[in-house]
Amino acid sequence: MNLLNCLPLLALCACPLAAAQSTVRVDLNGSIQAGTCTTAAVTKTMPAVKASAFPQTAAGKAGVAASYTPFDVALTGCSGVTGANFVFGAAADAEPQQTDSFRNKATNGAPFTAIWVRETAACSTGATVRPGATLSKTFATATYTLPMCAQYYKFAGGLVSMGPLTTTFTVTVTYR
Amino acid sequence: MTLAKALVSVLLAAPLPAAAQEISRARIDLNGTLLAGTCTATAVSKNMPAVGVNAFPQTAAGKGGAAASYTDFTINLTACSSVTGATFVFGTDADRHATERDSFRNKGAGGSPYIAIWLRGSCSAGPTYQPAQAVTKTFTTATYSFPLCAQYYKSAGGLVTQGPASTSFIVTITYQ
Repeated sequence: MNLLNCLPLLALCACPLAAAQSTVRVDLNGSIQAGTCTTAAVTKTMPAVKASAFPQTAAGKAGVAASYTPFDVALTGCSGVTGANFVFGAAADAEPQQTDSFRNKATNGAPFTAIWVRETAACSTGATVRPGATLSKTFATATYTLPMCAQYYKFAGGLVSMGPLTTTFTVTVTYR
Repeated sequence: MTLAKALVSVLLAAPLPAAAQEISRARIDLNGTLLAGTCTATAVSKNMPAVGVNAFPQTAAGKGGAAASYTDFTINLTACSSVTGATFVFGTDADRHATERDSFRNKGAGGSPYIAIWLRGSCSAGPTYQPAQAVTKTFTTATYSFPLCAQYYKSAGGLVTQGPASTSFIVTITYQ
């Protein structure tokens, strides 16, 4: 009889059985990038100036006020942007004899001339922006304008003579 | 004498008078449990698209998801045996975003605190599955796929900044 009484008790003790389970790990990996702006290409026609506007010695070097050409690198439609880095061309855009200026890329261009680019709206002042240089700017609105100025520049080595004077480069804008 | 002896023997072999019989009854209880079957569950690892901060509301108080981040995935159960359904629990309370409590927090190191991961049954519609939520599904075949969609979600409190947007959680599956 003792044995008979025990059997039901033993059966009840065996009841707490864990439900069958399994687990799955879920990993979701992503990133948020800085916002962007809309950029616009710049095409400017610079004034024609006479060769006499440049230093008249082979060793002479200087810019020419008569060629001052203001232009803007303008960003619009900025969203979620707190600033940007502007990289002006590359070292390959530099004049080998005057590496802080952009080389004259015109076919049969006027010799000993380059394009001097400065960060300014006034042209007569402002920091030189050499090929490959990076400017870091902070802004908090939907538009941003970076004022620049280009001018012809004679570098040392010979006299300037007539001919076209052209340069082109790409500004790479990286947003924050 | 021989006869006399024989008679005695017969008498001894005769049945005893009808007296009370000893009867025992033994109760036998057999108690058991049938466990639910199981399935094989597969871990999920998904790369979500990188999106710009401009995909999110541009005000501190704004909140919203980003369609560009829609990321479909499924929790797949295979080799189910004797399973009639399962309850899925998506992570725990510890996985909740600080303010957007029905979304998963951004666990990416250095990630924006105003980004959460919104888990839904489908990308542009479907129920929200918040952390620690239990969802029961029934199925009768050897495989089951639970379709889900994750997307980035901006919470109120500040602007979204660039950085990682990641989360991870454990789905606990209890079979029926």
